Formats: sequence, C-alpha cells, structure tokens
Amino acid sequence: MTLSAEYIETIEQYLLSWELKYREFYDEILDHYCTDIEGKMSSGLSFDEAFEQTDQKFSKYYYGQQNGFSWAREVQHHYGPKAFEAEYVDGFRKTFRQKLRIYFFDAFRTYQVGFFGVLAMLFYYCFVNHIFTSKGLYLMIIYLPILVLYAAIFGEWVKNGHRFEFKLLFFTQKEEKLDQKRNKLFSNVKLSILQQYFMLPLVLLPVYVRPILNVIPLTNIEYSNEIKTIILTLYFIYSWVVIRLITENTSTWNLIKFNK
Amino acid sequence: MYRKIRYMFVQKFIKAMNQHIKGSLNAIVLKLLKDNGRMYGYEITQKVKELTADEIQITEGALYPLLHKLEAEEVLTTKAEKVDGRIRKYYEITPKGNAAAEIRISELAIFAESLNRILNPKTVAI
Repeated sequence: MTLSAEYIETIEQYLLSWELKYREFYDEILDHYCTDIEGKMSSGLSFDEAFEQTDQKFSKYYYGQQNGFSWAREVQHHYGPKAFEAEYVDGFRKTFRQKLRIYFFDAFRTYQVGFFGVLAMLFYYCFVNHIFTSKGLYLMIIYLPILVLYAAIFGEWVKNGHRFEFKLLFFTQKEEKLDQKRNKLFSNVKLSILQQYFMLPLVLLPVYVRPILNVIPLTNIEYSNEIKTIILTLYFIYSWVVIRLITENTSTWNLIKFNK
Repeated sequence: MYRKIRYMFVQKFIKAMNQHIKGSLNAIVLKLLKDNGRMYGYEITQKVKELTADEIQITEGALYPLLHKLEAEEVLTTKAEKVDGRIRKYYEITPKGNAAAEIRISELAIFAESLNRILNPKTVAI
C-alpha cells in the first residue's frame, strides 16, 4: 500500500520540527520513514502505531558534534534525526579538510612551488616598477579568478539545486506553510560546505594585500622584499589549492539530479 | 599506576572490539551492494533481515552513519530518483570502492573461518 498525502504531510511536519538543514538528507530520511510505515501498515498496524515504531529507531540516536580547534573545543549535542544529519555533514567536512591539507602540502613537493614563486616575484616587481599603475588594476587581477569561480558556482547552484533562483527574488509565490519550510532546506551538502571554505581566501585577501604591497597604507609595519614574495607565493598556492578542490567537486554536484 | 595502565589497556581493547564490529558491518553492506548493484537504505536493512532469518538486524543508527561515511570517502556514490512521488537515494559502489570492498569482504571471510575453527574444532578436519 502507498501512504496518502495527509500521512506524508504529518511525517514531513514531524521531521521538519527537528530543524533539519539539508535537502539531500531530508529526502533520504523521509523515504525511509514512508517505506517503513507502509510495510508496517500493510501488516495490519494503524498509522499511529507504525509511526511510533519507526520513530523509535531514529529518536534515540545521539551525536556530539565537535566544533572549533583542539584548544577551544565546543561540543554540540544532537539527538534524533538531527544527530544523523550532523554526523553526515561532519563526514564531508572531515574529508574536505583532509584534501585541503594534502593538496596544500602537495604543492610544495613538485615544480609548482617554483612556478608560484616566479609568479609572485613577477607580480611584486611589476608593481614596484610601476607597471601596474593603478590600485584597481592590481586588485582586479587578484579578484578576477575568484569572481569567475563564484559565477561558476552560482551557475551550478541554479542548475542543480533549484534552491536559489532569481525568480524567487522578484516574484513572491503563494505557498503553504509546509512548502515554505521545505524550500528553506539547502539542496546540497557538499556545495554549502564548499562555500564556507571558499570564503576563506576572500576574507584573508585584504590581510595579505595590505602588508605585501602597502596598497592601502593602514599599517606602519614594513616587511622585507623576501617576506613579501613568500607571502604572495603562499597566497597563490592557497588559492590554487582551493580552485583545484572546487573544480574537482563540480563533478560530484552533478550526481544528484532529480527526475522531473 | 598499575590501575591506570590496566584502564588504558581495557579502553584500547574496547576500541578495537568496536572497530571490529563496525568493520564487519562495513563488509556486510559492501557485499550486499556488490551483489545487488544499487540499493537504498531501507532495502539494505530488509535484505540483511531476510538473508540471516532475523538473526542479524542492522539498526538505522549504525547503517546510515556508515553509508554516509563511505559516501564521504568516495567508496560509494549516490543517485536520487523519484519513486512514488518522493525522492529515493540509491547507493552504488564506485570503481575505487570496488577494490576496498574486495579486501574487506575477504578479511571478514578469513576471520569467520578461523573463528569457526576455534569454536568447532572437530568439524574442521585438517
């Protein structure tokens, strides 16, 4: 037997009350609840009894999510379906961090260090010799690849997730409350985590730019030319690693496609 | 001092045992996915129940974290499909995961064989 729309709605309302965040996980757990309840109802149980039995399997689960560094660790306690989701997200985070670390140290083992070093020196001496005459041009050169990647991510997001569309910005749609809640879920775990990490170079950029070239005279500290080039090299390597990770992960975004 | 060392040893033993139990579950899930192609979470629990005549029951609390971990490690890939108006997530072994699956399954088989030899020494004639 298949569940009626009303029953599915009650299950959805229950699951959303756990404050789930990610659509991918939500769909999976909803499907599990539905199939389990259907099986139990076809063997003679009522909906309420079947629901209680399936819910007992999930509601007892606990997961402690550890946030922060080892010297300032904070544990967030999660129960029930939310605990499953937290563990799911943590797994992706862990592998992403591992990859970031491996790729970063990989860059030092090969010829790439030399390549980025030469690039950094070129950039530095070009600026010293007033080849890049304006601040804006220099900033554009640094920001351009990042902006291009953002555009790529944005395109993917619109294509696959359908969670953020321009239409929704300009046209308000009349929806039921449950629908609104459901639409707030993030479509893809991988993408949203990537976004978080991708913010890092943007956030750190002013910190690097300021001491390197004294473009914005906010500090009196003067670094030697060698240190400036080393910092610039590190920045190039870091951004290259992030770009590599992003481009690798684009293929995995395509795995989840909804048949409409 | 002695107590502390004993405590540490016991903790280590418990950790190893837990890892072993988890490892066997790992092998079971990978074996099922290898034989049946692609499966979804609920299907795996039911299949294990069927095959072992209700003797082994994989709880949801053990299965889903494992599936998610294997997905993050790129041993499994997922595909979402619409079934009965809702989205179902199917798991599949990747080429990279295939090698890992073979190793884990053979490890479990060797372990089960040696355990059987210890428990029933007469039945196995060497």
